[in-house]
Amino acid sequence: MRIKILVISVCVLFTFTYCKKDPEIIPVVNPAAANLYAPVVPSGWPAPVYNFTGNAVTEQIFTLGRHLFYEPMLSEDSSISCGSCHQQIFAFSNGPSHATSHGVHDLLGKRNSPTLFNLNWHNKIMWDGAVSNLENQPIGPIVNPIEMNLPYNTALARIAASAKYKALFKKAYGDTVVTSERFLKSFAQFMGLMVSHQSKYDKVKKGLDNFTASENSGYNVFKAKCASCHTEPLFSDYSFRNNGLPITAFQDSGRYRITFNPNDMFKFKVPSLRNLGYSAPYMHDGRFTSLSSVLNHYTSGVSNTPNLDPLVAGGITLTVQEKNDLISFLATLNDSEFINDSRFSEIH
Amino acid sequence: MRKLLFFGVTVFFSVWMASCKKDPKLVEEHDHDHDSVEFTNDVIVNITNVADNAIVQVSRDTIYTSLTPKYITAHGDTFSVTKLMYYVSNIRLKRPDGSYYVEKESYRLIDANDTLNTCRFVLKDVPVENYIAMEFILGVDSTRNCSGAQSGALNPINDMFWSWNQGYIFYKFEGFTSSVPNFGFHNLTFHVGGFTSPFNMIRWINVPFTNTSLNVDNEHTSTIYLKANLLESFRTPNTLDFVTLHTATSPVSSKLIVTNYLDMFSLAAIKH
Repeated sequence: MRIKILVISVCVLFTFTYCKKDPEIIPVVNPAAANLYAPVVPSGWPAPVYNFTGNAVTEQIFTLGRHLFYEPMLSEDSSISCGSCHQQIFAFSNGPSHATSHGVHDLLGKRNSPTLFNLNWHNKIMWDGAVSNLENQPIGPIVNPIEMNLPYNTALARIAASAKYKALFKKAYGDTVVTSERFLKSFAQFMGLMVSHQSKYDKVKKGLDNFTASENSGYNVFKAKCASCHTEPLFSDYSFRNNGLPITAFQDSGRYRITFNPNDMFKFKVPSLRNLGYSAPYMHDGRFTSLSSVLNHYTSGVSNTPNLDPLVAGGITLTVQEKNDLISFLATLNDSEFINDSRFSEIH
Repeated sequence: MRKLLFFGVTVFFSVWMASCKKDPKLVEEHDHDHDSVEFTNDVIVNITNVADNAIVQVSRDTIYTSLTPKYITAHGDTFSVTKLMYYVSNIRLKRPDGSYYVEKESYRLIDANDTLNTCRFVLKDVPVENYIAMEFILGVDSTRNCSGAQSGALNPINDMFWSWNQGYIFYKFEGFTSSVPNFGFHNLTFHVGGFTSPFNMIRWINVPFTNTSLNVDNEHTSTIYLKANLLESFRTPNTLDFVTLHTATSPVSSKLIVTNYLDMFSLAAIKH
């Protein structure tokens, strides 16, 4: 009897020790759910520039970032959030009724709100490359007088004083302390997980779908005439180029504003061609409302301005048929799964 | 009675502790414990901001016109100082053979208005050797300009981070002069930053220990006393005239200041 008790005790003790020492053996109940918050690098894509170093993604930190993204308190009069100008249904751009962004007090910005997806692959963020690291990006629009117009310290203080965010910070980081670093890193997790890679094009590349004849012709036109700047699979090389847009009265100097290098005058970042079906209007100032007007610009509207990119000098030759096929192909880059992904939808 | 007193004291402390915790103020982690000296081979660096022979005093008056200009530039403009902040980073101590002791995670924000907390700091656990010069970047290296969310001296809440054209402001001087019209605000603004060519403002500052040396040993804690002479930033080689240059925030105009402030720092003394 005594021996039995001893054996049982030893077994129990052993089991406890074993469990404590090796937490990894706890089975994951739903592995698919766990993977929802794992960083995504689709096969065949280049290595991302931002890879969450020092910012390990968890569902709780991501969720904090999601709440912050849709938080109107981050604007001066609590009227707008990041999500106001970056709406999921428009691939996180501002939608067809806004050529340029709208800030507090109905102030109008000078540029079209860029789409947000595949940001981890951008060397420099924003139309002019003003931002070098995804984590610091939110500071720009929060403090910009014609966007959210809130001093950064005030933004952090508002979050720190909120009971809702005390709870969210505790869940994400284990305590309620609000630091700039935590604030920015949670934003980066939310934005960095926005990877658009499930369009028809991606499925065709994986052998799961087929292009129609017109899409296929359009793909060939794309490869011959567009792919040097809009390189696959991201459909941009994220370089800065002047694509010959006639200069408007506002004279946006683009990349020059950042570098003060005369060779950068009128250059803007090459935008990705993914999700164009959702992200009209087009160009840095939203001047074109349709894809056909964009193509007409490249065939007959290229203006010989300083630093014009040699690849578009004199225009690109496209027949009417080629334009139609190209537009069919571009539609295969629309990723409806991305714009309907419930992980990124508005939350309060 | 004793029990009651004990109870009272306990309650008091609990409430006090709780009120501390509840404070919504932002808490910031510190990378450097600037004031504690644990080893004798720690080296203290003490920076005094001066205008030639006068110690720089930062005026926080809100009505700038009421300020009495205190200092005079080489050009003859009188001015007072409302802000003087700059980064001292990547500190290294030069050995006689030309090699260096390089401090790791070396980022400090100096604020002339907070001398107690920022102008005196400790280089921890410096190897026991002799050194002939101190060198540092007046600003922030390009790597950290492009790194993600930072804390400590590099926290963007320190008001030394440009939100558009992102990167750190390396050096920020603001003041008031009666030489140019008052704009209802400080009318002298010199903000230096930028880490990319052709307007890379990152500069190494070299402070030789002329006629002396820093001898780190296990018996004495040494102190390096540096002087930062604000007037040098307006003096040579570009003698600045506030009438023509009172606002320099773009890399193009701040290049003049950068060239001038290379000789702003000098050694006052080393004490062992």
